[in-house]
Amino acid sequence: MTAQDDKSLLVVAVAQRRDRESFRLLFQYFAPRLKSYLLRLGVQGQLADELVQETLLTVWRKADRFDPARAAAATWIFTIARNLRIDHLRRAKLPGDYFVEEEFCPSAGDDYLSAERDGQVSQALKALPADQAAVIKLSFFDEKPHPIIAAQLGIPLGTVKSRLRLAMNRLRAALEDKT
Amino acid sequence: MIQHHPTDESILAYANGSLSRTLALALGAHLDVCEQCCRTLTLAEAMGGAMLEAETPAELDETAFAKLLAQLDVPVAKITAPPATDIAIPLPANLRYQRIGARRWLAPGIWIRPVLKDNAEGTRLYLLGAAPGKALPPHGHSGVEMTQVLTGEFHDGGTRYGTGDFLEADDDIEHSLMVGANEECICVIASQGVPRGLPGLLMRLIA
Repeated sequence: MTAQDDKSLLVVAVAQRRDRESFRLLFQYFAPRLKSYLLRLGVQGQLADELVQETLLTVWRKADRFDPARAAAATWIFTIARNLRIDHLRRAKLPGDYFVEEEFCPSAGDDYLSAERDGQVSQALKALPADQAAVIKLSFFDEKPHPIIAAQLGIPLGTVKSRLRLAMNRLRAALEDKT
Repeated sequence: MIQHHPTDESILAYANGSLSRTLALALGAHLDVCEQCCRTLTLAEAMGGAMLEAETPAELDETAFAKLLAQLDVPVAKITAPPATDIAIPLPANLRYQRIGARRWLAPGIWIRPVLKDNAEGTRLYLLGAAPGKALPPHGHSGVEMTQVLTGEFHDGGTRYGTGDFLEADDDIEHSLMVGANEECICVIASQGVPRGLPGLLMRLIA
C-alpha cells in the first residue's frame, strides 16, 4: 500500500514540514483544474475563485489528516472541494443543518481504501469503451441530468441508464480483479 | 444482512455533491452501516479525483497564490459542533448533530420527528416510528423518497425491509407499508414533494 504519486508526497511535505514550495506546486497543479471543474458546474466566476482558494487553504490546514496510504491526493482534494461546495449551499439556505465535514464511510474496510486503488480507477476509466466513458463523464463529473445527456448524445434515456450501469460494473470488476 | 441498497446513480450523486442535502443525509445514514455501498462511494470519489486530474487547467488571477499565502497563517476560527443529539434512538453518525424536532403523533402508534426542511428544493427529512403491526395506508409520491431503516422492519407488498435496508422510491411508485409484528420500526426518510393519497391530516403533518 505504498503507491504514492508525486502529488501525495507534496501533501505529506506540507503536513510534515509546512513546506511552502510543495504547497506552491500543489496550488499550481490543482487550482487551475479545480477552477475549470467548478466553472463547468456552473459556479459563477467569483465564487469559483473563492472555492478554489478555500480548497487549497483547507489542503494547507488539514494536510496532516491526509493519509497517502488511503487515497490519492487528487481524490482527497476532490472531496474537499465537493464538501466546501455543499457547505456553501447549505449555509445559504439551511441554517439548522450542521454539516459534518468528515462524511465518511466508517464501514469501508481499510484494505479497500488505498492510494493504489485510486491509480487503478484512473486506469480503468481510461479503458472504458468510449460510449460508456462519455456517459460517466457527463453524468458524474459534469452533473448533467440523464434527459440532457440523452439529448446531447442523441440516445434514448434508457441507454443512458444502461451505459452508466455497465460502466460502474466494469469499474468495480476492474478493481476486484486486482485486489 | 443488508438486502436493499441505494442505486449506483444515487451514490454517484452523493459522491459528487449534487444530491440534495436532505436526500444525502438519508443516503449517508445507509452508508454509515453498509460496507458494500461505501465501496461504491470510494470508487466514485476516486473517479472524481481522476477526472479532476484530467481537467483542462483554467486561467487564474496572477495574484491568486500570493493572496492565498497571506491567509496561511491567519488563525482559524473554531466552529464548535452543536451538542450531539441525545434521544433514545440509535442515530447514524451523520445525523448525530442534527436538531431532531419534537415527536408528533400522526395516528395511534405512528409518530414523526422532523429533522430538516429544504423549502428551496421542496424536500424534507424526518424520523418516522411505527409500533409493531401498524400499517401506513397506500400512498404515492410526487418525487423521490429515500428511506433508511434504523431499527425494526417493515414490509412493502411482498418485500421485507429490515434494519440497515434502504428503500428508494420514485414518483411512479404506490406503496403501502406494514410494520413487522415484533418491534417498533424507526426509519429516517427524505422525501420530495408531498405524499399522494394519505388522509389529509396525516399529509399536513408530514408536509
